[in-house]
Formats: sequence, structure tokens, C-alpha cells
Amino acid sequence: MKYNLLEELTDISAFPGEESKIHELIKREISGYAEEIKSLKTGSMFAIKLGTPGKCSIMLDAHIDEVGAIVSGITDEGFLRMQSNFIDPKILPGSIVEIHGKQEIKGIIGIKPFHLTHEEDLKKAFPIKELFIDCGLNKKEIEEIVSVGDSVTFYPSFSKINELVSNKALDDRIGVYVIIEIFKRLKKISPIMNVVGHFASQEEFTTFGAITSTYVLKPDCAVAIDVTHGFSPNVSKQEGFELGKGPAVFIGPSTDRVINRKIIDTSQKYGIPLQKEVGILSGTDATYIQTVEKGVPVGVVSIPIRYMHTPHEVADPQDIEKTINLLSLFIQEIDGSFLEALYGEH
Amino acid sequence: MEQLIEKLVNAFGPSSKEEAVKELIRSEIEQEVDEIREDKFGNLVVHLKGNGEKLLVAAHMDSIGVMVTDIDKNGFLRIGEIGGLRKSFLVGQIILFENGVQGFVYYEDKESNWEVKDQKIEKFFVDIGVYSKAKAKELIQIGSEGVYKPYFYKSDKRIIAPSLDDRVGCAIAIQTIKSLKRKKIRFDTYFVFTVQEEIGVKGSKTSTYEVTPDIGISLDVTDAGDTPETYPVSLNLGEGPTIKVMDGGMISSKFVRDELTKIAKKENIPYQLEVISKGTTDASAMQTTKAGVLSGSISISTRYIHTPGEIADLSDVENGINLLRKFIEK
Amino acid sequence: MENIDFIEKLSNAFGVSGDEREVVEILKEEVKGDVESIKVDAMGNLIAMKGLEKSGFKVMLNAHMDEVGLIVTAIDENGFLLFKKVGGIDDRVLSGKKVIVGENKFKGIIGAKAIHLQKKEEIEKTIESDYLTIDIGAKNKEEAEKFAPLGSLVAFDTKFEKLNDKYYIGKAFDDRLGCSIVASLLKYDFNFPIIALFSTQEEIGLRGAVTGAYQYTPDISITVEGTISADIPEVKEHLKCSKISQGPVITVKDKSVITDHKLREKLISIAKKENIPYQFKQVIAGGTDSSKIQLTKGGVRILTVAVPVRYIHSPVSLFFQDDYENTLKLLFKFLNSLKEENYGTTN
Repeated sequence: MKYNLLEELTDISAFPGEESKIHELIKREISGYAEEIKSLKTGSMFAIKLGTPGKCSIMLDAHIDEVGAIVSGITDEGFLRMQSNFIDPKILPGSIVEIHGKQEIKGIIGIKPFHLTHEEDLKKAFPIKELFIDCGLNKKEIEEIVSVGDSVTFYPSFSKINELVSNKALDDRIGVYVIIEIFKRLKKISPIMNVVGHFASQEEFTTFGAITSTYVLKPDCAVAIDVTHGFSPNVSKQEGFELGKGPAVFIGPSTDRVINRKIIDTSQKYGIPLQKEVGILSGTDATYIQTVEKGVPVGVVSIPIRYMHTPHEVADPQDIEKTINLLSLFIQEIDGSFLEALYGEH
Repeated sequence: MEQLIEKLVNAFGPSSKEEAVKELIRSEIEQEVDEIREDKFGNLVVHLKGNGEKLLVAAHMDSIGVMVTDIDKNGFLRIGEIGGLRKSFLVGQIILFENGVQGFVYYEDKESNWEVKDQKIEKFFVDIGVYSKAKAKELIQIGSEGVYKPYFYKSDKRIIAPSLDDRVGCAIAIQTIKSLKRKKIRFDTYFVFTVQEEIGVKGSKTSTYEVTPDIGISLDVTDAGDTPETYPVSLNLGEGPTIKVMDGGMISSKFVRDELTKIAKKENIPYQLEVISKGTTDASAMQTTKAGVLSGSISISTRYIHTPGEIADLSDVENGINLLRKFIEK
Repeated sequence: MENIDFIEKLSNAFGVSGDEREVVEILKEEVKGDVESIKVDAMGNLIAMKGLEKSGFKVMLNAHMDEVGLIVTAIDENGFLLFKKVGGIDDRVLSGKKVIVGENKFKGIIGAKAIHLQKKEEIEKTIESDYLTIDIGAKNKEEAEKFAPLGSLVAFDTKFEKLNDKYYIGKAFDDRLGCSIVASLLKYDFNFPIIALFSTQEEIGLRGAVTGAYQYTPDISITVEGTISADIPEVKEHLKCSKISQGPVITVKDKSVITDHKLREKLISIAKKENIPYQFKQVIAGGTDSSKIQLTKGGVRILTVAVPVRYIHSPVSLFFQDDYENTLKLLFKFLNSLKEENYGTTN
């Protein structure tokens, strides 16, 4: 596990629409392992490793944007108001955030002290419109750095919690990490398909990146590498997966039977633990990739994380390693009969 | 400017029945453009030829409204919603139907409360003042569409009317087309007056597919936060047109947003940055078309959207025209 | 009724959203002699086409093959299956029902606790689907996992039958009736190319129609459905949506779409001319494939016509023979009347 790389990837802030910051880092890591690397105007980027004969392609997709908020107002005292469709406001009081204005500045979200709060109010959760960011500046000072429309993300705080790792944006920088590492493994393998590593913009909002890139790249199939919910108190065994028991493959109408079969067979052949997530539509890029143009067979492999969309998401590094192994071997195992089965009926 | 907006507001045009608005717009601009046609979805597509990237500017012609779903045995009409009708504003309204018939909206009031407690659309009905189902059926059919009866008032620099959403956007498009210095335009420019925006940004989706622009800008209305005890948004009437950062359906392309902001600053045009969480515009349908369109929006801060009395500031509209013009010209 | 065996086969077929293959095979078998090409695409849609050599506007006939059902999400320690709903189902129709589970078609029961064992408050409360389980008679968890692996789809176990003179009951009339009508229409030749799109995953978001219509984009499309008929006691007159025996249901507006005004007026004029009863969908509810087909590429002009069906999205639905036959007749006469006029624009 390259903790340094994972830390770098999760520390960078990229609110939807502001993903270009992360392109340089990905490019740096994946150069030398791909024949083509390109950044798109949509904020997505991709890297292609050519296969032999390379007549068709598989797209591995991870999204590079993370949840956050947008500055929606500046009060007369210099506090910032926020707007967000992405986060649970309950985790904000007492948090440290980063505001991306003319420069990055830190701010804290504080609330009225406990001593001054009525008993009955203690039970009410703060809606986001009642919360403020305090940057320790007055109105004139803050307006020189920050304006309405600037993005706000959780302040990074990478740590190891015993054997587990924690930071903001494990969703979906873990996926990015997995794709980078797969490309490094693929250097020794010659897959029969071209492998496209797609780093998608704006998955958290409109899946703008994945939809438009699929139109451009026209892959023959795709696998989204994202995160799913990890089991913890208040999250039932039905809703969450145990950490350390391997990634989860998504089974349901919105993923392809043949791809799932191959993923499961690969996991059994090589003894890689694999959990099964059953649902109707996966909340990932794959759901939208599936219906672009004439349709793309898709699969989803997710790594369980606890406390999704909060500043301290938690994952098991072993699950990340297992995912890299599983998908590298999956690509290696792709052969003529897989392609035939994939397109057999069509 | 206000005469144009008044004409547009008075034209009948709920989603899918935009013909009257279309004809009015056509007559206003057909002399000023290189190409004008209707596409197969019913959008009015206008082309101003130019060198450079392809730009698509959209304003929607349709307004919200109601549709008749049933005519009961006594001639009362039951209705359904077309678009995001605010049901709290229905009772007490006069509805104007496509053929000129008018009716009054009331509700089921079994307990004589004189207060609408339950706002399910099935509890409302329209009384068109007939005394039999047969007479009602002569005037209205199931499927007939109606709108809030048009009204227009100018108070100092502000206007009060229904359907400023998005007749104001159409007016901005029209005036921009008329005032553009053709030799200076830096884009191959398309103006599309779209249909069926209120029921799913439909006209925008199909017209963007056909035109395949590089850049897209919608002209629409957005919220205002300057009324008593209202949800906090940093948008006020009279402080300039808004440049969209984010709404309920998209995040503007940074390129478009920064370009518009740069131009506004350079040309001394007042502007506001728009951040709202609900509602969206034609631009969100443009964005995910084909390989993607860099999309943004110039919206006019408007109070009481989707009610019979929307209010906007004419200076914002004028500045909106300036901003758009300066964006399109070199 | 002429087509009754075919409707029976379609209704009884297992085709919950996500696995419509059985329905694909039945339809393929039925239409293969009538069409020039048959394809199955990446989403599992079945697309059958004829008259491709004809010029002029292309017409699509669309019906969806999938039905609502359940999907197995977990197996408890005792071998009972937990599930999620596939498509919109009222929890209150699930308790105490027989189902068919998975590719091996195991029989199961959504067990209902005996009333003797329920407290008074329990009796009056709905049991949410999260708290229901399917009993397939497995001895233990391992056996259950073998019979019904995670992800197995589950359909209502209802056999098609004649209720009385002209009323039929069964499952999945939404939209196997539509599939049957489209397949029947393919037996005829018209003046234009016909693209029959039997779509998948309609019940979980109108998904199959998106890719099907993209590949073979028509100028005009008619979606044939089995729609809500709530003409039962306790429902107010204006909320019945449509009525059994009053003929095919023509949609003006539903939650997803406003249909093409000119095409709809033409359809109504044909109904009047041919003395075919018809009615309008009188509640703005539900969404159909037509809304996705409508927005393909530069746009498609759409109509939605349906057979009125009581109790859709539940284990047992009901339709009336004449309504089915009149819907088929209306569409046939309408297609016959479509000429090489200017169908390029909505005007």
C-alpha cells in the first residue's frame, strides 16, 4: 500500500467542476504506463494502454471530484454562508474546511455555545442555511480573497486508524489509486483489449464527465471503481459491508451479467474475497455510462468505506489491494470467449 | 423594452403550445438574422453566421400552466399541473384557456374553513361559469391548456407580471439579436427559442443535439433573496444580471463563468454570482450532450417565480442584454 | 379472443426488470416470420424491423417487456430471503403472496404472520417490505444460497386465466398486453418502415428505450402500454384515471411527457371515423418510454396509447377483452391512415 500516494490523492481538493488540479498528479503517476494521456475540457481525463490486438476497449472509471459546498453569501461581519446538495449538514458544526478563493484559506464552522442554548433546541439539527464559516477576517478582508461562488471542501486529515486509513475523499480517490496501480501492473501484461483509465469529473452531481467521455471514447465495456457503504453501528448488515472482507461487485439490472460472471470467476480462481452488493441502480458512473448512445455493458466494483461523504471516511487498505489484484487479473483473464459472450446475443 | 416584454407576456404559451409566442418572436427578428427555421421538435432556431467556436444561446418560450383532466357532471373542470406550478397560488386565480375562455380556481372546502389546508392538485377545480357538462364540453376539452391570466404593470423601474419566466429571457435574446454589431461577433452564433423547458428542459436537449455547439448559455430567471424573511440567497433585484455558478441541475463551466465575469468587470456591468440549490435551466440539458458543451447562464433575479406576480428589475434586464452582447462581440 | 394463447404465454413469462430474456424468446418466436431483421442490443432490448426498403418517415412501435418484481438482497441465518422491490410496488400487496424465485424458478411465499399472533396495533399497521421475507422452504442458509443466490430476481406467481366471459386476470399486463399488440401489428405491412422496440428496464427508469431508440431512431413513435384503471369503489370520479370497457386510453399528459398534439388529434379522428370507443388518461400520473424516445437526438414525435388495466404493479391484474381488441384495432387503422404528409415537424 503506497500510503504517500493515497495521502496525496485524498489531500487534494476538487469540488465538482474544479478537477483540473488533480490532473497533474494523476499524469505524473501514470506516465510511462500509458501510450496516451489526455485532459478534456469537461474536467475529465483519460489514459490509454494499448492491448494486443487492441481491437476493442474496456474503460475503467473512477471519479475525481469530491463532495463539498459553495459559498452563497458573505455576512456584514465577514462570515461565509454555504449552499450544498451533497453533504449532511449534521457533520458540519465543529468542522474545519478549506475555501478555494483567490487563494486557499482555512475556516471553521462553529455554533452557538452549549451554555447559551435552550434544552429543547439541543435536539434540533442545524440546516445548512443556519451555519456559517468563520475565517477570522472581517468583511473587507475576506472579500479580497473569497467571493460568492467559491467552493468549500473538507480540510484534509489523512491518518491511520489502527490498520485502517482515513481522510476526506476516499470517495473516490481510492478508485483513482486503484486504476493507477492497475496500470502499473499492466506493464507486465499484454491485455487483448485496450485499457482506458477514465478519471471522471462531476460524478457527485450530474455524472457530466462519464456521460460525455463515453460518447468520445466509445468503449466496448466499462467497469466503474467506486466506494460503497461500510458496516458500522447504525448501519445494518443489509446496508453496509464489512471492511477487510474484500470489494463488492454490484449485482442488479444496471450491471451486465457476463461482466459480473467474469469478475466472480476471477475472484474464485485466484482466491480473492469478493462480496456481493445487490441493488437496482448503482449510485455510480456506471448507471449513466450504460445508456450512452447504443448502450455499453458495465460492471461495478466498490470498496467498502465507513462514514461516506464526511471529513473522515475510513477504509481497509487490504480491500484496496484486493481490488487492484482482482481487476488486474480480470483484465488478464479477458479472452475471446468473454468477448463472444458479451456480444453473443447482439 | 417593457413594451416588448408586455407583448411576450400577453402571448399564450404553456409547455407544448408555444405557437403564439413563436410567431411573435419570429416577427420581431426575422429581418435581422441569416437563417431562421423551426426544428422538428418545434424550437425556433436562429443563426447569425460568424467565425469561431459555435455558441448556442437559449431562452424558453413556454410558461407553466394547467391542463384540464376532467369535466364533471356539472361542468366544473378538474386540472393537472404543467411544470412547477406553486399550488398555494392557485386558489383565487383566473385561468385563461387557449380559446379565450376564462375560469376561476377554487377548492374542495367541506368544512367551510375558507383556508386551503390540503394542497393536492386533485382538490382544486376551475369554474368557467357554465351550468352543464354539455355546455362546458363545447368550450373546453380534456387536454385543454390554460395559464395564469396575463397581467402587466410597470412600477418605476420594475415590472410585475406572470411568466417573466422566461419571456424576460426571450426579450433579452431578441434585443441582443437586434443590437449585435454583426461584424464584431466572435462566435458562429445560434439563438434557440426552446419549447417544453418547464416540463423537463426538453427543447434544449434536442436542439443542442442538432446544433452541437462548443459553448452554451441559457437566458432565464433565478431567485431573489431580498424579500421579508425569505430563504437566504445572495441575489437582489437591481444589482445586475446573475452569472450562474451552480443551480439544482448543473455547475457552470468555469470557463464560461470566468469569461462572463471578466467581461462584466471590464465593461463596468453590474453582476451577481448565482448560487441556488433548487431549479435549473436549459443549460443543464446542453451540458451533457454528445461530447459535452461548456455551459453557463445569464439569469435575471426575479421575485415570486411561478406565481401570477413575478417581479424583476428592468435595469437588470438591460444589463443582461449588455453582458450578452459584449460576450458575443470581440 | 384471437390472440389469447399468445397473451397467456407472455403474461406467464418470467421477466422482471434486469432479465427479460424469456420474454425476448417468446416474442422472437412469434414475430420471426413477419419481419426482416431481429436484434438484441447491449441493454437486452429486442428490436424487430420490417419495410426498411420503403422511403419516407419511420414509425416505431414500442412496448416494454419487463414487469415489476423483487430482487434477493440477503439471506438470513435461517434461510429466509430478504429483498428489495424492483419497480414501484405498494408494500400492502406483498404480504402473504406466492412468488417465483430466480433462474431455477423455485416457488416461494412472502410469509404473513398469523393474525392470532399479532397485537392489536400490529394488525392495523402496514409491514414495510424491509421487514418481509421470502420462504423457499430451505433447511438452512447454505441451502437457500444454493437455490436463490444473491441477486436472484423474483416475480409474482400468478397464472393467466379467464375470470368470466370477457375478463381476464394474470400478472404483468403492464406491459405484456402492449408487447402482444405490437407483435400483432407486425403481421401487417404498412406504407413505411416499422421499427418494433420491445424495451427492457422500463419499470426502473425507462432505461432500455434510451439505447433502443438511439440506434434505430424513428420520426414517429407509438408506445403501447397497459395503464392505470382505478374505476373501483372509494375512488372519486375524476381520479379513476381510466375505466374498464371504455376503450383504449389515450394519454395527453402524464408525469413524463405531453404527447404530440397533431398526431393525437389524427388518432382521435380515426377512432371517431371507425366508431372505436376511446378515452383519455384522466390523471397526470406515471411515466412511459415515450418520454425517452421523444428526446432521442433531434427529437421524435410521440403518442402513448394503452389498454386500461386494473391493479397494475400488483400480483393480479385484470383487463377486458374488448378494450384489448379496440386498442389493437385503433392502432391498426391509425397506421393505415398515416400518409406521406409532412411529418417532419411538430406542426
